[in-house]
Amino acid sequence: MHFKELFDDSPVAFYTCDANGKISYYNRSAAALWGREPVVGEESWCGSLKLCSPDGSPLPKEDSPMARAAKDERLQKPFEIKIELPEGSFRNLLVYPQLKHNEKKEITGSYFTLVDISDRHKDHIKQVTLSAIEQSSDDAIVSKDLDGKITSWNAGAERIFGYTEKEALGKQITMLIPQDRLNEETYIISNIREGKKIDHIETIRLDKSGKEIPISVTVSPLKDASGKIIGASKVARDISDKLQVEEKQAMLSAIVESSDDAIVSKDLNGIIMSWNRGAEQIFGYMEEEVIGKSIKILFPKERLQEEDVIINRVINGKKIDHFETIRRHKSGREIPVSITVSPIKDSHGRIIGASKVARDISAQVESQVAMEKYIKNLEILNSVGKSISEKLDVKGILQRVTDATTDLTGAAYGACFYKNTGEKEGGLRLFTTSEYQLPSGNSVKTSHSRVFESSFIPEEVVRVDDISNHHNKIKKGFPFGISTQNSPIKSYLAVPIISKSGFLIGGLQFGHPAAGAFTEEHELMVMNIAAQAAVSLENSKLFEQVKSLSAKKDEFIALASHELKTPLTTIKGYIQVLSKLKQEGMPQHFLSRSLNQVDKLNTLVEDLLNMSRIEAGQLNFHLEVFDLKEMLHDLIDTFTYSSQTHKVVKDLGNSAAMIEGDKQRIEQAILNLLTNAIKYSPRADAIYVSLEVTENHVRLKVRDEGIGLTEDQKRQLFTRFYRAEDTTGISGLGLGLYLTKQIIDRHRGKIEVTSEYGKGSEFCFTLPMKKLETQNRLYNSNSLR
Amino acid sequence: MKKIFIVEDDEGIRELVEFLLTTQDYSVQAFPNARTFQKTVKEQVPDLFLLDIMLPDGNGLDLCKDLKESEETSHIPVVLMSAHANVDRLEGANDFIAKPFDVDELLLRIGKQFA
Repeated sequence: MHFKELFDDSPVAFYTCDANGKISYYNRSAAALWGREPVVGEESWCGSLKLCSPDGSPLPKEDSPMARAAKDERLQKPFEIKIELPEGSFRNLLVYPQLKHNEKKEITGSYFTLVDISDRHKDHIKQVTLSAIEQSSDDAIVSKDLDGKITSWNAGAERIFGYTEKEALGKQITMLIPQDRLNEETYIISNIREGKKIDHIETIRLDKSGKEIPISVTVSPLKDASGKIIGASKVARDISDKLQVEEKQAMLSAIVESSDDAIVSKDLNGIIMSWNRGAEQIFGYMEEEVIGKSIKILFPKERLQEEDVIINRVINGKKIDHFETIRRHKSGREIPVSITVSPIKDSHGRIIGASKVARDISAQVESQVAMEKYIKNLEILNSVGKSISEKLDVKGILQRVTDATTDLTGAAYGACFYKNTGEKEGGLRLFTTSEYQLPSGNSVKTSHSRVFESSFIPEEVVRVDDISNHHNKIKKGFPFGISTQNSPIKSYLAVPIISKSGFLIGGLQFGHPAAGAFTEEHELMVMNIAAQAAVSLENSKLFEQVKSLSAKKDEFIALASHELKTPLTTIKGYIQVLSKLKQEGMPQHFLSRSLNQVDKLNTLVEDLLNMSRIEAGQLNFHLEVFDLKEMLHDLIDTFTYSSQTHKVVKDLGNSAAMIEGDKQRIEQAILNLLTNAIKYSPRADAIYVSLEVTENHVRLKVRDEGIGLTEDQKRQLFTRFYRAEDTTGISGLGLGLYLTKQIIDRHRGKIEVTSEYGKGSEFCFTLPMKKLETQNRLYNSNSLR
Repeated sequence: MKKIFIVEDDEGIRELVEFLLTTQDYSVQAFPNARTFQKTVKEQVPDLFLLDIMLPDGNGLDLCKDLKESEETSHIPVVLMSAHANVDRLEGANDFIAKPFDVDELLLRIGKQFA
């Protein structure tokens, strides 16, 4: 069998099956492919252990393509199968079937030639995978030949550019390129020809609808098996999204640039890394001046420690919100700012610096200052209003008004003119001035008070920003006593003071060396105060009138008392002469009663006069040191003698009661108390007088068992002309206790009353005791005040 | 006999005082005003002056002052009297008597000036 030997050693695997499919022959190559040696005449169709279709599904040998090919003339075409080797691996085989016929053309068996295609299959898998990647990629993966004709087109390309694979294949790649970028293709192709790759060019391409699409392209040369460049593969990525991020960034940086706030970043050492236009405007430094410099150039010296605090917070990842502080402009000017500082982190989350947003809050601070000033002005207005309404003297009111308005307007010079009631026509007289900031030797000449008046003749406010520029508008006499030549005054303000009845009663005038120093606000404030001043001045005028009337009254009382005393003197004298004559039939007690009444009348006149003197502050005391006890003994003896109704029960003790005072006045005070005690206890027959001497005081008590006082009466007891309501029938002017209290007060003493209504009253006064050591010296001095 | 000049504008008081002093054996000359008094003083001087303060054509205090400043009269006692109880300055007067006065006291205090 020469033929057989030939087959046995052939590198081509070959085997035969009989008409029943039993393996009738196989060569060594076939056994090698199968990995085993099947038993001839027993195993059917294929010598492998197991048989699968190319996709890996198991195939029974009876239903194998070999079996089918062995029965059908039409199936004599190569087919692919997969076999499993005894050790478990798989092998892909290409099977070439061929039928064996006898002379009668009947099928007697089959020849099968096997070709191992396992390697080819691996390549195929790779290709399939690649193509799957190609198809599923979001990127457009396109290949083209060196003429620019598209040779492949994946799903990504379809999605990005809108063309289907069918539409794109064979077309020129230039259909994707905008007119103005066509030269890019030339450049790409020339690179590709040289075998160079082009990485991530960002450019624009057109989709099917003509819309521009931003893409990032990578182009690589395509080579055939021999290494010859035959085209290019092109991966394009749609970067619209990326561009949006970039746009956002650009927008942000535009915002940063256009912000009025200073936006600055610095590293942890405080070195400035970025500086926007706002920062340039607020701090005055240009970007190139400060980048790389320390942030501390912006700090006022006394606030340098703030930076450490800020950096510490930033290092701890904390933010600083709206911290109000002061920073320095390049010029050194201090700027109030509100700053917000946030940490800057790198991509790993580490803090590498701080961003700082600073807002110039000068305007806010200014408005706050203005508000505070406004409040302060209100307070001044209030206090001025209060204090001038309390004052009743013209000079006091005008000085307060002048000072306050000069202060409020910030004027360097302020003056007040006033029309005194005493003066007739015109008569605006310079009354008060306030001069503050005028340098010495530069005082305003205010002697021409008549010319000042012309300021106020129109009875309107005059406000001039610069008097030296107002020659034409100014009528004769302006600027009212201030020389325009070399005047220390530029700004001028004059506000009239108009009375309620509409008459000009005065005026306020202000000056300042700077032009435009006075504002409408000042004008309003001064007008406000001038209005209040007008009211106060009118009150003051009324007060002056009352005072002058009161003085006239006092004068009248003094005259009246003198006139009343003159006839009293004559009457008293003649009665005394009569009582001395002891003529027959002249009843002595009539004369002594008349004499008593004359004395009483004289006391009343004296009380009236004293009251008027006290009112006028003219009650003079003749001080001497005396023993109150001795005086009381004498006084009570005389008094008891003249009182026919009451007994005076005295308890004066033994100690001397030295006091310093006007003996006559003290006597008068005590007599008033004694007289009252008798007068207001008409049903009693005694009154009680006691004297106590303590270390520093003497205390005298006068008690009665009379009608007593109500609470209300007690309260009003010591007021002038007061008389208890139910005392009709009891004579008096209501001056006694008033004078008594005045006398005791003037001796630095104290008078009190305790009383129970219907049971009686006790009046008690204390006077300071004159010390014994000084007693002798003063006793003889008889000091007159 | 001591001679006393009285200046008192009120006729009632003038007569009363004149009467009282006459009973005490004083020689009295009374004047109703300053003018007539001053005219007489230039010619003759008394042993005592009793002067009212409020006068229609002058003031007793001024009269007193002039008398005390004049060489001829400065040694002669002056007693002032007035219905004003408080008189601050007495212009060198030797005494002051408030009106209305006690008759005995008036005589006593004038007598004192000659003691």
